[in-house]
Amino acid sequence: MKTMLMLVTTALLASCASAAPAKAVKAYPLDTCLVTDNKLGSMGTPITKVYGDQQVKFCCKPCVAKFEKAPARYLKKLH
Amino acid sequence: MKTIIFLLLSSLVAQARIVEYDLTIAETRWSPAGHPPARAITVNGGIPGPTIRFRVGDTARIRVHNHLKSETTSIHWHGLLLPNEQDGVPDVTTPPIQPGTTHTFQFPITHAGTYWYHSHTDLQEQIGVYGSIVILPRDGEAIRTDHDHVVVLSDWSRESPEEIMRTLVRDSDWYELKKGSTQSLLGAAKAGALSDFWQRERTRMPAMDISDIAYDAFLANGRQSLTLPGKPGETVRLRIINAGASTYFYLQSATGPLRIVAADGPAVEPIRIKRLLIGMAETYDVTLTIPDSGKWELRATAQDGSGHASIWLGDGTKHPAPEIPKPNKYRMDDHLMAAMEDMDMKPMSEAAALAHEPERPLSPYARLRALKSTELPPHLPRRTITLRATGDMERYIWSFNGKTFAEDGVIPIKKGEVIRIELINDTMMHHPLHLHGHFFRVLMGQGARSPLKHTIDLPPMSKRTIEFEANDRGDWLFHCHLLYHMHAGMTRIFSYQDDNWQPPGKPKPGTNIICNNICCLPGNPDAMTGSVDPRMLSHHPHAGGHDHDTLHFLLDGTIQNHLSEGRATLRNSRNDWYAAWELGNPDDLEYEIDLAWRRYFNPNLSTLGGLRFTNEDDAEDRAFLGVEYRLPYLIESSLQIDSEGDLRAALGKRLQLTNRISTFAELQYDTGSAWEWSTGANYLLTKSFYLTTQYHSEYGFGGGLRFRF
Repeated sequence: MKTMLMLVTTALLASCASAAPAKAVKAYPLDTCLVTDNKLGSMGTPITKVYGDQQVKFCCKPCVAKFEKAPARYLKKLH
Repeated sequence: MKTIIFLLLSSLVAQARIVEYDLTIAETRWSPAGHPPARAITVNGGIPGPTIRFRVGDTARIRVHNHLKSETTSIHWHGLLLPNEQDGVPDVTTPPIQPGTTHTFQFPITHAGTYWYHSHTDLQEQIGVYGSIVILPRDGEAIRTDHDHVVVLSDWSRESPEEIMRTLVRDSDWYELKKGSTQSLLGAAKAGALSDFWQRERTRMPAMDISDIAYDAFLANGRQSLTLPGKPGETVRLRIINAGASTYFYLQSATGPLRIVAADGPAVEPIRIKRLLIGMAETYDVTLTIPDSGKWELRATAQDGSGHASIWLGDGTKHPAPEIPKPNKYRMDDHLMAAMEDMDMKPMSEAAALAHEPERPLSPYARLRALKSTELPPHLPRRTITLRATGDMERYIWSFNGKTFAEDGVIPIKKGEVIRIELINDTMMHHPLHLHGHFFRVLMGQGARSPLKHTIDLPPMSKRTIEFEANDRGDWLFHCHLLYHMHAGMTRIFSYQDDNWQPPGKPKPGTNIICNNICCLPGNPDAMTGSVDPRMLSHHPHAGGHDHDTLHFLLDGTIQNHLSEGRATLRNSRNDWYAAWELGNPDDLEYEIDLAWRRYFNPNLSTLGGLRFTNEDDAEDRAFLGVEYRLPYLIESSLQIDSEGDLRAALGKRLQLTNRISTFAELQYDTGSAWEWSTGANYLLTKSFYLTTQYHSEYGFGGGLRFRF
């Protein structure tokens, strides 16, 4: 019984947790995708990446590709 | 001198010309050729209703006769600028037209173009209450053609729209199967898209589709195949109106690129386009030249590829329009990329635009250019409103900024300001958004020549910016023109707050209606529900029936030789009140019955509480509280605690194997009754019935029928 509850709790916590930024990494301050401005979570679990010392979150995979073509254009939104 | 006086008088008479129409709305049974008849509501006996024609400067006087037995009706004049009380939205601007009565509309005709009319009552538009409006400029069309035809596109189902709505709310698999758009493990493997399939499941995204409903036919002027007059070598103007309740169309002609000369009424600088996406409620005027010989097809293909309507021009050998490839249902990323590329599109030459036109283009807004400046007065104050299109396909909740019309219906505005609306689509569906009674500028790189429209397509996961001058008074609807999204809550009212404006006239004794010599309409209506503090509103819009959070009754269960389980639910947008049952061991019946309330927060999280009744050994009746949470790979989990001090944890997963076969597994641990698990499969027979087989750890193996109503 205890094992079962522990497993369920662990699974729940694991799904809730987002990738925690390392100490030197600046946390992503928005609740929207840096590329499309869509709400994070509107396309399923957001994608989290770190560029330099900045954590960035995206609503979906195509946004990562678009961001990586012109990162400066989007990182401006964070300053 | 006499001539001048005559001309002046003629001019005055011409300006004062009153053009009268009678539109009779009546119930009948109707179908397009080759289909069994179904209930329909017609205007003057036809689907679509008649084309009503005016010239700028006329006054329209239109008597709408409601010949329905017991239903109210209404007519909204879509795209026309007219006095608020003439807009035709029942209860919001205009009283509903009662059965057996006539309502007379009268308004000046101030602008030219192609428009349409339709019922704004319940779901009547789906079953036939629509028609076209053609308004010529005072001096006739600047672009002359040999022929001028109206083409009204629409979608038709033999199901009633109420049943369609129920089917959508209960998240049925049936429409996907009927359209061939079911997403399954086998289908993904065949399409070489297994990684996309599992990626979607891992990120907790349900299978998404381009459209919601499987229609039985797509129509042009009420026919699946329409032939229009036109001889080889002649030029034709086609006034295309998308009166579909829930269908985007791609238009493509066998004659070559279409030439767009007007969009949503106003003329635009002509552009050529090979494939034109037209959203619900939009209109485009296009011109083409019939080649020297042959019969040529203009095809309106449903965006999801599930069918088309054909418009034929000319005579002789048939030249069909090119087939439009079906969308790849497993690669939704492709649709997202298309939307993102569209947002970045820069103005380009026509040759470049034609050369780079994608296979499945979005609307050509970035290329549309008004004939003259549409800039709004620079001295007016600007205000930006962000509206996010939000939705939940599983429960069929559609909203703005996460709130339905019933939850937050009013956007107060003031006369004399420019309202800029930033539209962001947080959903995976297109939304054709329509503003009543105003044109807005579509800001997509054309600067002073930004085109004017009344309806704009908002593609999935994309952005659009529009602006309009608040230069009127009263209450004006802004809503998704996908009929079922509008009724599910994706609606707002822009409500002018400049004064305590009330419609002119005298109160009707004993009612809340104000009547004048033209019509009667709601006076001093009650405040709406919503997040806007009613004390902040000097004028409270009347919501009519638009703010009802409809209750639906749903039934989902199985009858098998070894057990029966299921759930009967009364559901609105955020709540389920349900009775769930599990009956097993027919020889010595065991039962467990839950009566509970489930509060739905989002697709991943719900809470629940209720009472559990059982006759199982060593178990007592009890109360329980719980939480449901969706895990990666769309695994449903739940955790409950009850009044006997027991905990119950459960996991469940359903997987679509083929178009008709799905499998499921459930695992449960209860500190009171220990482990329980089951697994099985369903085979979809019809919209409401499945064959089912199931192994249950307590009741063994068996099979029977699953039903969903």
